[in-house]
Amino acid sequence: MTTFMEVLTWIGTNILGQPAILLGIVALVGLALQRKPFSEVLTGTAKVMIGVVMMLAGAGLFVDELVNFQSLINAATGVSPNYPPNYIPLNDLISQYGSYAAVIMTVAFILHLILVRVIPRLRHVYLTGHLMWWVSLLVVAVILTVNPNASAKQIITIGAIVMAIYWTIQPAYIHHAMRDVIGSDAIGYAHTSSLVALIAYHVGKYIGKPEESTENIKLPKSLSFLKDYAVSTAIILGIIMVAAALVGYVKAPETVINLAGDLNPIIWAVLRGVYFAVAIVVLLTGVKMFVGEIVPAFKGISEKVIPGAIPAVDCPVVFPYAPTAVIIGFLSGLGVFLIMMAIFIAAGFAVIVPPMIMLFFPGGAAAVFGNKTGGWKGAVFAGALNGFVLAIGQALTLQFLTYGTELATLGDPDWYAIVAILKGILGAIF
Amino acid sequence: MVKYKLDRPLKILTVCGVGQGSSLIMRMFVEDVLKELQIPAKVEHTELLTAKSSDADIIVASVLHEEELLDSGKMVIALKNLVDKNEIKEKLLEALSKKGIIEV
Repeated sequence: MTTFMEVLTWIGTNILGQPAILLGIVALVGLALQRKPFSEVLTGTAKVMIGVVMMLAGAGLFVDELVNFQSLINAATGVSPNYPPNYIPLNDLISQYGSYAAVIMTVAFILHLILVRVIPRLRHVYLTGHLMWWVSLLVVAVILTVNPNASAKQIITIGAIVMAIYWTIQPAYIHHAMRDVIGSDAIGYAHTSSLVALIAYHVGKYIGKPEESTENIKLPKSLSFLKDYAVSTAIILGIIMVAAALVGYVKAPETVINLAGDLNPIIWAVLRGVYFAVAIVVLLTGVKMFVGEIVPAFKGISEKVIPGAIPAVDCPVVFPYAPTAVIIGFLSGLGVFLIMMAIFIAAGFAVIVPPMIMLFFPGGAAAVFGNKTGGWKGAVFAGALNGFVLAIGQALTLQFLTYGTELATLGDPDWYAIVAILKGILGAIF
Repeated sequence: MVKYKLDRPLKILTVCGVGQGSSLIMRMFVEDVLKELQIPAKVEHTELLTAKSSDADIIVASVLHEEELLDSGKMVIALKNLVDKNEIKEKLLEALSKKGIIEV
């Protein structure tokens, strides 16, 4: 009996407790089962392991830069971010519980395929792999926040059911709008911006006219840098950091000098913007590497199991249908977010950080939907709604999520809805 | 059938804003099309930031990113529908013939 327990403990520590090893094994088995050539099995497995470790390294960098950002804003304004006491930072959440998210992702995808197979009305297969990973991780974080003693079985069962239901119904409930935007039934929309996109689509007609389309507007070419998230993050975060360093230097010089160390505070602030962008690049490159090996296998399985299913894919699939709306939605969202950030600080409520990727992609996509029914006014509204939801969602989630608190700053609108709904349901279960 | 003229696999890069979702989706559909055409190829997916310095033969991206990518002097295939295999096939064949990589 003791040997059996020892084996379990060994597996727990060395395999389940090491996401790089667990996902490496999953990739190895998956690639071998697909009868890939040996060299591809080997490189694929290595890429997954490198990706997972890179994600962990990126998460560590990101956590550090977020602390720098919040400390500087705190020095300038006296407002602190109000994290939950004894919170577990994102990099620790991934290294300790990342395997749970990986298992949830796999089990939930199988459940999802079963649901799509047996329910004739539902035809979409969810293929946005990086969001499958992030939201699975978010669900693990919410379950642990509500009940830190939840067992592995409970976390995986609840997580897999929640994710399978979400992936199955999300592309379905937005499909009527998607069909109108792209003029075809061939693609589904699988993105955690679905709620703002859907609201923008239905509210658009009360706000503006489809004839007044964003696509009649010519935006200056100089705005195209906004499409590069690393560049826009470095610039916008850099500007906010420099402004905060200047204010902070007047109000609390010692704190700012302490933060900057040997460096001039302005130089330090400029560098923080760049480091913040790099942290996100490293984090996402890691996710890209392992998701890039897993999703093709998922697609292969789904094509075998459900011939004729509709692939539901990431939000930029709608961008070509109104590229100007994308930029307009991003700008209006950024504007509203920055105003909300200022209001929260003035009220001493929260310190939130502008999430450039989440302002661009959900805001841009929602604006394409808003433009379809409400023209440019619909697009402006869509982006503004996204900025508003992201600001409130981030502020509330930062104060709630004890595990992987920084996930609050990486969320799309649906994430916050999932957190709120799950929190309610779990409160009743545990 | 097409005649492939390079002595190495074709290098294709699919590109989107963050290199996470839609570039991967395009990669999988481009791979399907190339398999159908029996063109040996290595397809990778990435984000705008690094795409401009890649040594790929051809870049496949959404029309949204066409201008930025063209600025880098690369041959770019710009897709309106990212998962339409007919569009991918048509534009790919045209670009590869133009570059002298295949003979149709």
